[in-house]
Amino acid sequence: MTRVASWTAFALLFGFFVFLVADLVVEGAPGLYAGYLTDAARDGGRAGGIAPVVVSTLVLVLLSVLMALPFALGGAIMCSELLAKRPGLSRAFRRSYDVMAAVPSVALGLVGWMLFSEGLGLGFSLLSGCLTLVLMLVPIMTVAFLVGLDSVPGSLREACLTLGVTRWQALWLQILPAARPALLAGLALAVGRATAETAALVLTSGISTRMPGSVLDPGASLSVHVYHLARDVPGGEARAYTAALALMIINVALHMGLTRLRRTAHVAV
Amino acid sequence: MTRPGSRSGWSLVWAAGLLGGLLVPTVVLYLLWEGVAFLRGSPAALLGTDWYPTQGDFGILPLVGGTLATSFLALLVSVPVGLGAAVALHFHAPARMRDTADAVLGVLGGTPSVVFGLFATVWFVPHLGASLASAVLVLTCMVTPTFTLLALAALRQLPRDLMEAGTTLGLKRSQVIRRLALVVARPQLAAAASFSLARCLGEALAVEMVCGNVANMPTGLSVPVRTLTTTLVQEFDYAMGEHRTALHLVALTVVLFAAAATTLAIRLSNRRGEVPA
Repeated sequence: MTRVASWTAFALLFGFFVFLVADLVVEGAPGLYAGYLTDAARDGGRAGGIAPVVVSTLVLVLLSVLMALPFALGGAIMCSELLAKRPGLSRAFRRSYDVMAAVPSVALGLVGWMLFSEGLGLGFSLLSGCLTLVLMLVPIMTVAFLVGLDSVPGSLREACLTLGVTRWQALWLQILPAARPALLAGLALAVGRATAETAALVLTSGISTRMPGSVLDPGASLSVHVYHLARDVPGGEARAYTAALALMIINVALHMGLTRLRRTAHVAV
Repeated sequence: MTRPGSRSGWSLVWAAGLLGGLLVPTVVLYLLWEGVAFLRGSPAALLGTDWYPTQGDFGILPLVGGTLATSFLALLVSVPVGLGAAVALHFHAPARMRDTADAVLGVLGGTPSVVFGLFATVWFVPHLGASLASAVLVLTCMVTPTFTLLALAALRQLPRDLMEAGTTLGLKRSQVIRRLALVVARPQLAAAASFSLARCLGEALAVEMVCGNVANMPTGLSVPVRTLTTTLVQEFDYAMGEHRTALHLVALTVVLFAAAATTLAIRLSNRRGEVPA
């Protein structure tokens, strides 16, 4: 009874996965051609390639992850090293990071639009989108980094102190290197989340498929491009599938990298 | 032997850490400020059932109803399917199959929600219309893999000797699973459901693509609905004055919902399940 029911549920879930992937490949693959990533979009995205979208995605993802990195790393080091002797305070910060990581991105999008697009006068722009993504990424990255720093055994810290190494040196020469696989996994996770994000970006960096000249121009990321083609462009469905297939390939690649990093993280500790 | 660089280095860490930790709370405080300001002007908005912002009607109940109905109905499907799949994988599947399944679940869990939105536009909307039913299904597709992964993690945390003790006592495998494993893991499974709920409550665009976007109360599965999140996406760029402040209240509401579900999940995941007598 239990066995049959559970296998039925399993078949439902994995059958769906097979169906989804098959659907993406069958509908999306015909749109792929040699110049898909490097040609400009034509006819509102219904034809041509996705070069402007690739550029916008790279700018949005890389810039926002880089901007979020110092805050997230600072927060993680603060919780695990500086507040090591104040467990209550450390726990309060950790819990608030957990809750912050769950704030719906569309709410951050509204704030980003009010603050950066309207307030700072950035309008629909890649920069406004990046700043909004930073709000979203900092808690996510902090939580992931903390997992890495927590996995570094306390004995390593004690050994460093016994040897007369300063805490600052211990941090940079021993603790962070020991946590490196987990820190890289946190970065990969952030790249994945930024690539998948749509709501926060529709509100801040817009849905333009023109090549951005600078970070002050609007630009659609790949996810936003899928949304735009499927939702607003009549006859854009075929190309939406192609872009969704490209997204799925990125997703699989990121997941494989993440799995490998997590495996090394376990070996290292 | 404090090196000259280290003192300013630590100050930088403090500064970055505190600043990073305060970013999102500041955002929430801002929403709270604006939302409360709006409520002071028109306190009836919280109980109003008409959302016609261009005519000055800002009753958010239909939006709250849309959000709660889509999210909870999605969980109603996701939890049994996800739990079943997790049980099959943990208790019945051979080890090699488990690795493949982990990879599949990881990929599905990381799939951008627009991909599900596109899928639903093509496969659900033509049959079910742009309606509550389509919105529920798109959330179900999106959140079942996440719930399954979390449920699987909960089952993997179970102490092995507990299961062995059950078998030794002469319980059948199905009894070990239903009367022992699922009972002891109940808090963590509930936490998994609560985390999944938070994700559903906050999802915007996948729902917006298929829900119909009419501010109806969710009185039936075929009714077009609108949620708190989709309202923000639809109206942010033309809202002015009072309407704009009202959107802050909408954003605040969805943030509070998601924060409540997450806090509940954290509480539950720290709780230990009781071994049945």
